[in-house]
Formats: sequence, C-alpha cells, structure tokens
Amino acid sequence: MYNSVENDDVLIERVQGGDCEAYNPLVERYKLPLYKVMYRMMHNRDDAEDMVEEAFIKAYKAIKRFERGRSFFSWLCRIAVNNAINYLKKERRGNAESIEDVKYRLAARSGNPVEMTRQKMLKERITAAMEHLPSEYRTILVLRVEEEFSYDEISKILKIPRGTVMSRLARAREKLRTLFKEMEVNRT
Amino acid sequence: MKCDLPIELLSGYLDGELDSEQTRMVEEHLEACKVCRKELEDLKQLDGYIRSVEVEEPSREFLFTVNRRVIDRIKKKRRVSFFRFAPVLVPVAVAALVLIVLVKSPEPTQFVDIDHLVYFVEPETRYTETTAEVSAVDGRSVPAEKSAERVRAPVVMKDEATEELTAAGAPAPSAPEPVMKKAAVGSEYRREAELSEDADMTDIEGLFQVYELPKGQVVRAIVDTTGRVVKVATGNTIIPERDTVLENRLQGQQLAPDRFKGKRVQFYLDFINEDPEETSEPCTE
Repeated sequence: MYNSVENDDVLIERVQGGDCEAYNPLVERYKLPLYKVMYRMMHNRDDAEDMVEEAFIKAYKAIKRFERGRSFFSWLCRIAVNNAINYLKKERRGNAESIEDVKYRLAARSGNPVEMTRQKMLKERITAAMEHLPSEYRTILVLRVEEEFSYDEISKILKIPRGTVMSRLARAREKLRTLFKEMEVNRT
Repeated sequence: MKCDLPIELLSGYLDGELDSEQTRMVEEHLEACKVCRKELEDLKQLDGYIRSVEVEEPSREFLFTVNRRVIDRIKKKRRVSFFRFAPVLVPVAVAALVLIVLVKSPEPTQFVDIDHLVYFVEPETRYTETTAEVSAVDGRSVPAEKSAERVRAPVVMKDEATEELTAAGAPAPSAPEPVMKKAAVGSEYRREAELSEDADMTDIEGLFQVYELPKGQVVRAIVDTTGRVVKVATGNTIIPERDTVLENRLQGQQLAPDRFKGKRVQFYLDFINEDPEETSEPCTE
C-alpha cells in the first residue's frame, strides 16, 4: 500500500470518495520532501515533524476542495507553510532570541576552534539570521532558495501575485543580508 | 555611490525569473556598475549560505509511524464528526424510543382472579360440551352428560351452548328446587381448553347447598392449571366478591380435569343459584 504506483490524482480521487487508506501512499510519498521544507522553516526537528503531521491532517480535511490537475505537493506545501507561518508568529511573541544574544552565543563558541570552525560559524549565523526574519520573508526564501520553486509556483502556493513574489523576495534578501551582517562576531 | 537599479530586478535576475527585455537591461547595467556586481555576488553568497544549512535527519519514530498516526487520526476524526451530532440525535432517539414503547407496549397481563373481578372476558367461550352442566349429589364423580339428565331443577344458562343443550335434551323440570348449575367457563387466554367428558369431578353441589346462597347469586371458583380450586367468590353475577368461608371449604378441591388442550392457565367457573320458576320457560320450549 505504501509503495502504491497509482498517481496522485487517482489516489486523491479515492480519498475524496471516502477511502482514507488511499491517503497512506500520499503521506509516504511526500513526508520527506515536506519535512525538508518544514525543517528549513522551523530549524528544529521536532517542530518540523509536528508540522508535517499537522499539514497532512489539514490537507485531508480540505481534500474535497483539491482541484484535479494541480500539483498535490504545491497544494500540500501551501497548507504546511501557512500553518508554519502561524506557528512562527505565535512563537516569536513568546521566546525570540535577540540578535545580541545570538552574537554572544556565537562569540562564546568561537573561542574554541575545535568546537566551532568557520564554516560552522557561518551556518549558525545564517540559521540565526533566518530565524529572525519575519515569517513571510523566511517562507518565501525557503520556497525559492532552498526548494527552488518558480515564482509562478510560489504565487500559487502563497496565493499572492507574481509581482508580489518578486518584490517580497527582494526585500527578504535585503533583510537577511542586514541581519547576517549584524550577527558578525567581532573577533577582536 | 548609490545605484538606481531596483533590488527586485537584481533578485529576479539572480533567480532567472526576468523576461528577456528585463534580463538584457540588467546585464547591460551590471557591465557598467561595479556596486551592483558586488551586490549580486553578495546575494549569491547569501543564497549559498542558506542552502548550506543542513537538514537534520528526521527521527526514526517519525519515519516509521507518521503514516499510521495520520491515518489513525483521520479515522478518529471521522468517528468524532459523527458524534458531534449526538447532542441532537440522542434526545431525538430517546424520544422516538419512548414513543415506540408507549405505542407498542401490550396491555398489562390480566390474570383471571377475584381481585380483578373479571367476568366473561372472552364471551365467545368454546364450552360447547355437555359438561357445561355438572351435577353430583351423591358424592361420586359422574360423567357430565349423565349428570345433566339427572338434573330436575330448572336451569338458567347464560351460555348459548348450554341453552341449546337444555332446550334439546333436558326434560322439563317437575320439582322446582334450587340447584347449583355451572353457568360459564371463562379464561382470558385459554382458547382451546375443553373439559373432557370422562373427567372426574368432585361433588361440590352439596357444599353449595349447605352454604345456602341467596337466589340469583353466583359462586365463582378460580381453578388453577391442575383443575383445583384456588379462590372462591360469591355475590352478584357481575362482580362477585371473595368469599373466604366458602373458599376454605373448596380450596384444593378438584373442580375441573387436570388436562386441557392448549395452554394451561387459571380460569374460573361460575355456578349460579337461580330461582327455578323464573327460568323454566326456555327449557320447556
């Protein structure tokens, strides 16, 4: 059942007809690609796994509205991303680490060259900078830069005009570059 | 030096999402603008950093159980979605059930008993045998037909069957003396019960005569399935009342045969002490 060779449309039609077991191959097919997207948004394994599960449940509840011929993964991503954005907005109100805290943490680690190589430092900085981005910016960067969706696909996923995709992506990159520079550790 | 190229075009150029005209314009600008070239390099580097962030492997639990968890939650939600109508459906179902019970419930079982004072609950009695007239005066059991011939007293029968019998076969009375006659057999449930002709009947007439009932009175004996007397009532023919004195005399007497066709239930026997003069006419016709 997991390794069903039936295409998405056939499986979705069966699910829409009430066969919930036909949803199983769809979960199997898209759980890892969706996990990657969610991980890059959440930067946390447990949260990403939770988001994937919730996204599949929400997608099932909305499956009657799925239009045949569309990409199921894009549609699933939209649900997952919107869910993740809402989660991140709530989380940010709670316990967001300040940029100064990030700088202090990175500086503390940089004193130990074994623990923290330059490459690792860069990854931590970009991760921290991404975490400080507004969720809309983070989402659009994940979809474009990491998942390499086209502007048209992002437009459908986020339900925004293509021109908005272009402008939002440009502003997201500007903001990320600013944050990344702010987090540069002064080694002196 | 500040450049006037919009960042959207630079970002779009980096992503390869510009149309041919925009692409040509940006490329011409980049050839001439060192700042924008540097900015484009920064953006490329930033994208590289973003892509360099490794995705942590998902847990084994996630890999092996998320499918089942999703399917289980879906099935659970479907069940729950049915029960969300429970606040409406349950009271409606209960009300419907109560209505059905009220409409369909049988009438309460009504045993033939003195306490219920039932009289001819089932008027179309099948008591068509000559055993309707039972008379024994010498203390021995006699066949019902014979006993009927020996009766000299006028007989008043409420029962159609016994009326026919009296008119056709019984001789006219010559000596008017009160005799206890069996008038009817009633049973609420027993439809096939018939007294067999050779049934042994206990002599009860003597007891009745000793007891001296007023004219027009009825003695009703409640007989159980073995044919023995359980209770006795006396009084008018409509509603006789329990008579414990006579009951003490008759209780346990074999008043009817202990075999019946059909279901064996309690039934009653009425014996009427009639004034013979008032009832002689039908018999003589």
